Amino acid sequence: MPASRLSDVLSPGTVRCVDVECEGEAMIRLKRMGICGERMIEVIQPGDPMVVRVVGSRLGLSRRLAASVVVEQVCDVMTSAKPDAVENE
Amino acid sequence: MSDASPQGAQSEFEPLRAAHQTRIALVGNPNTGKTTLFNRLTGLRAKTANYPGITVDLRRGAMSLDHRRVEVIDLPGTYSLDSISPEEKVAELILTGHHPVEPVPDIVVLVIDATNLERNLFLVSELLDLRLQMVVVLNLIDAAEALDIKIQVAQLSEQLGCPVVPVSSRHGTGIDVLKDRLNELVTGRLPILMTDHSSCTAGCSGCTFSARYDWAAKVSEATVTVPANLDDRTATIDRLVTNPVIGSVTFVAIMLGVFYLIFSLASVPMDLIDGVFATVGGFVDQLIPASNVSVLLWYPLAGMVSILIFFGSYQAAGIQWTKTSVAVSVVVSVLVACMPIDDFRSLVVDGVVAGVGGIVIFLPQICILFFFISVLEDSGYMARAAFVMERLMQRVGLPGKAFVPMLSAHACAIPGIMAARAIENWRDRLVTILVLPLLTCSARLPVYAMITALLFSDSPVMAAVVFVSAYTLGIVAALLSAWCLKKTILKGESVPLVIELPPYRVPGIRNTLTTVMERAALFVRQAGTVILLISVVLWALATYPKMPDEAPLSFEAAERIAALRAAGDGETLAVEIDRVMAQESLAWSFAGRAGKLMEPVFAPLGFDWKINIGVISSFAAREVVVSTLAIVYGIGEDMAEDEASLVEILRRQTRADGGLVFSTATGLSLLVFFVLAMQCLPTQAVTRRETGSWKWAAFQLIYMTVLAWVAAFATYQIGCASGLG
Repeated sequence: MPASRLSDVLSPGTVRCVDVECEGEAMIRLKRMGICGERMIEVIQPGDPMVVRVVGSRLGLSRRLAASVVVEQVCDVMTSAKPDAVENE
Repeated sequence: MSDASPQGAQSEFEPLRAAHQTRIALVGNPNTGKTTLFNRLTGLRAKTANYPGITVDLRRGAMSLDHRRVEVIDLPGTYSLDSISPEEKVAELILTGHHPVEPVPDIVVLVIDATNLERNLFLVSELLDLRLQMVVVLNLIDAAEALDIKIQVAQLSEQLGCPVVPVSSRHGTGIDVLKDRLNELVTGRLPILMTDHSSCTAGCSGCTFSARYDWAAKVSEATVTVPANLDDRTATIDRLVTNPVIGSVTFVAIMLGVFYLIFSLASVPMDLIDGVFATVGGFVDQLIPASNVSVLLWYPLAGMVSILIFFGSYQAAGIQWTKTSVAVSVVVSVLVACMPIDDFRSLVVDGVVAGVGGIVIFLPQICILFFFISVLEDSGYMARAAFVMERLMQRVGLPGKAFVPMLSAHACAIPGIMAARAIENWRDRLVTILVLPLLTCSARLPVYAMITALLFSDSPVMAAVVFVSAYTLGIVAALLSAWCLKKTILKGESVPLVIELPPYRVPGIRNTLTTVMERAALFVRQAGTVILLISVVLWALATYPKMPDEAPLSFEAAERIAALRAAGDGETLAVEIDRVMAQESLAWSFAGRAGKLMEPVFAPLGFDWKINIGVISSFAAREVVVSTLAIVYGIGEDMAEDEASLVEILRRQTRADGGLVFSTATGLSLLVFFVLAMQCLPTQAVTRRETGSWKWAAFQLIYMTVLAWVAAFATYQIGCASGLG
């Protein structure tokens, strides 16, 4: 599956985090909120800043940071398997 | 601290700590209701304490467990032990045992949000690794039940290897069970279960964060059942509130509403406080006898009053009784006792009472401001406000979170600087603190009012334009300064936003009021004592040296008295002559001399030495310039309240060359100067406290004064060149 950046996701949907390509404070800030390897990220509202849902909570995320998050698309079956990743719109 | 336990039998059950008082620390993510739990456990007896360096207030309190007093510390909220903000750093250092002053707590109460267990389990996993005695509090259990989230507590406890207590700190349910568990831990009756928590850190993909979240997901899956449509309500509100257009409009509407309420609600208590202090001043004036009654009685009495004031101030400001501080209080008190009685009266009425009144008058605004900040924070809206403002603020190099301090600073810079703690990144926080005093605070309003009345009393439109321009100038100057600081001495882009948008909740009134009380107390203690000191120093500068009786009157004063004598009748004559004499003695004092000394500095701005005295005296509080100008132009302090007559007299003042003192150019120059100049020592004291060094306070004073001088200079020169001089 093609890898892209979280900032490139332009419509709501779920992606899987592959890697976080930044260092120091920025990396800790992302990772400790759950944006780290293998976690599901649900994009609720694209834009700058964007709204995502990770590990059960909504996060406001600057586009500048989202650009350092490498993500890949996931198929719908996997999405619905995770209860907290279900879009409720 | 030794444990003064009344129970001699304590040793029989092998107490955790016999030598010192047991210390319990509350830890948890932000937005988990940790502070509400703290208030619940300790009542309203919390005290804030801080350590040298950057100020991080730790709230401390005490609770009683089975007649045993234990200390409870509320550690700053944190998402992980990898700290980002100075506050989180303190929590990390204390928990890991690296804090220079504070030892590791005996028991950790880890507060987690029952409505979002998985996220909170991340911190649980980190703390389990520290192998401390721990109780996990499943807070907000009422909210979880309302959302139909089912948690198997016993199973969770088993998985974590420590007691888990469901609690609703808002409603008080589960508190007794928590106390029982804590008591068991304190008395050592509960075995310390240590889970082999190896799943988190060993053998995974190399990312410990990911491994911990994997573990959290596993535990949460095994113990919690979450319904699918969990955050329906929050999602619906957020669709509007975080929308770029509707969200921005909502934001502006809420902020304008808050601001309107601050000014409209505060006016009644402010008038009341003003009245009370005037009455107290009058009462004290009456109380002090007209002449020394008895030397033996008077000296000790005056000295005692002074010592008492010192005692109160030292207590409030948290100053230790060292050799130096005792020596200062004794020497000053002896000096005060030896004062002539009229000087003593003036010191108490004009220095102490007026000085304290000058700060207390801002208390209503500050309380209302903190009330709204607390409500907006607890409801969850504040995170959205930071979200909405992020893009705009990033353009000047500030984070979205800097907006709330900037809004607060329009009431008073001091609560604004205190609110800057919400900004995690130290550099961003520092830049915000440094530019906040440029924003128009309410102490500037009397100055603006005086100047607009002076220049444009016949044109309400022009007056409004000047007011709006003054506000705009402050905002533009603050944003530009922030941008410059970010490009020069505090280089670096602002830290981009990662913020949790917590579910919306109805704020608890009890919690809000506690926050307001604590912040107000902090304001009075920190700013109040500094204001008192500054008021007394400025009073002394304006009073001493006294004009000797044989000193010649200035030509101007002699002429005026002669004119008064020729025209006046008995009663008004005495009052008028008193005013002229007050004007003369102020000119004779240190403040007056400093005003003359500074003439070369301020002359290019169009200020004469009398205005300079106003500028100097306004360092205690900006609005003081109005009453100082009233005295220095011989109008009498009592007339300062009567704006019309003050303005009328100021308008008639002429220079030696016959031109008007308050020409349009001078007025505008003075206005620009007051918009931009620091002119507030209490703010400086708070800057020092929040940044941990006088260096930044001094920098703030210097850059703002230079900025104000240059801008006022440009205004005056342009004004003169275009014929407004």
